Amino acid sequence: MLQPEDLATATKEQLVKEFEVADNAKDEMEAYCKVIRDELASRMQVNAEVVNGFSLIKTTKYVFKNVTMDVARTFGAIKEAIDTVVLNKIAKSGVQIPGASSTTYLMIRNVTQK
Amino acid sequence: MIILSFSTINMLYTASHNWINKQMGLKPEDRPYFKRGRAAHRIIQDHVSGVRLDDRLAHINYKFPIVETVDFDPKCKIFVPVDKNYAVRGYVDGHDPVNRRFLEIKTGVWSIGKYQNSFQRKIYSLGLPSYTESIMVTGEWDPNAWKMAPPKVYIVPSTPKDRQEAMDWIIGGINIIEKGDFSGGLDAGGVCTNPYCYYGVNCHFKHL
Repeated sequence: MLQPEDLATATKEQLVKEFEVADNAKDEMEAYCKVIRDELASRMQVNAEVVNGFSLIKTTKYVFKNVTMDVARTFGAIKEAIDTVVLNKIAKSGVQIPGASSTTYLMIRNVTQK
Repeated sequence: MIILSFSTINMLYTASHNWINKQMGLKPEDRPYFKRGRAAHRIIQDHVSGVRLDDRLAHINYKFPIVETVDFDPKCKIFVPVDKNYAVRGYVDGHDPVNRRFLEIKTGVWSIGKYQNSFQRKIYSLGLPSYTESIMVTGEWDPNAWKMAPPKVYIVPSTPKDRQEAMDWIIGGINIIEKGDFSGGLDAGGVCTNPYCYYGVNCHFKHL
């Protein structure tokens, strides 16, 4: 890892290389965390427990993407919502939308063919 | 010797004027919700002790051979001497000396974080120094609701840190007594205006 004082003097190539190394390490660690989480979940006999100062809590998250509008309507589960896809298109065409703001950030993607 | 309970010490911290109510021999106002968890407690205690198994609790795999069968059951008593003047006494809902764990039942909404931070749990851990963990069973006070929402089971270890924090908390409560200032929970005029006061209509400080 580059020290903070070296970041300012590193070349773009060095910085991208650092990002690649860190990004791969992050992916590996996330995959490792998932494996550990799955192993712990398989051993949980209770809803929650505290181990080494960490709470392990079994939670259930519901996914509704295959629920149709008609089914949702029968449960009173329809709401009016802003369509950000439409607004995005309009904003990109240069229209000022009241209440909208923007941030600029860098997306880094590997485009080398493997 | 002055014997304190968790709820008495808690009152010293949250509304110390209730210490005076207690010394005057006043009784807390009788509120229906104080009693409504009793049926749930009994059903859970009977299930985990094997006296009467309940299908709604089939997911609870922990057994407790010793459970409270009467109020203030000596089999479930914990006693912590603090010094020559004070001690703390309490009663766990159940315990298992072989596996060194005790049982706590709570009706209502309890998260594992709330239970872990509970001084009642820490005091029980202090009173059972060889025990390594506690099992909390928490669910709706109405057992009829358990079919749709089974009571949850949490495991929390009992640690030396818990025991030290319990003792520090107890000593802090004793310091409130020794300081002799029991104005906690009263307004500037010394009157209790809290509608949720533990002593309710019987609170001496509501009738000044």
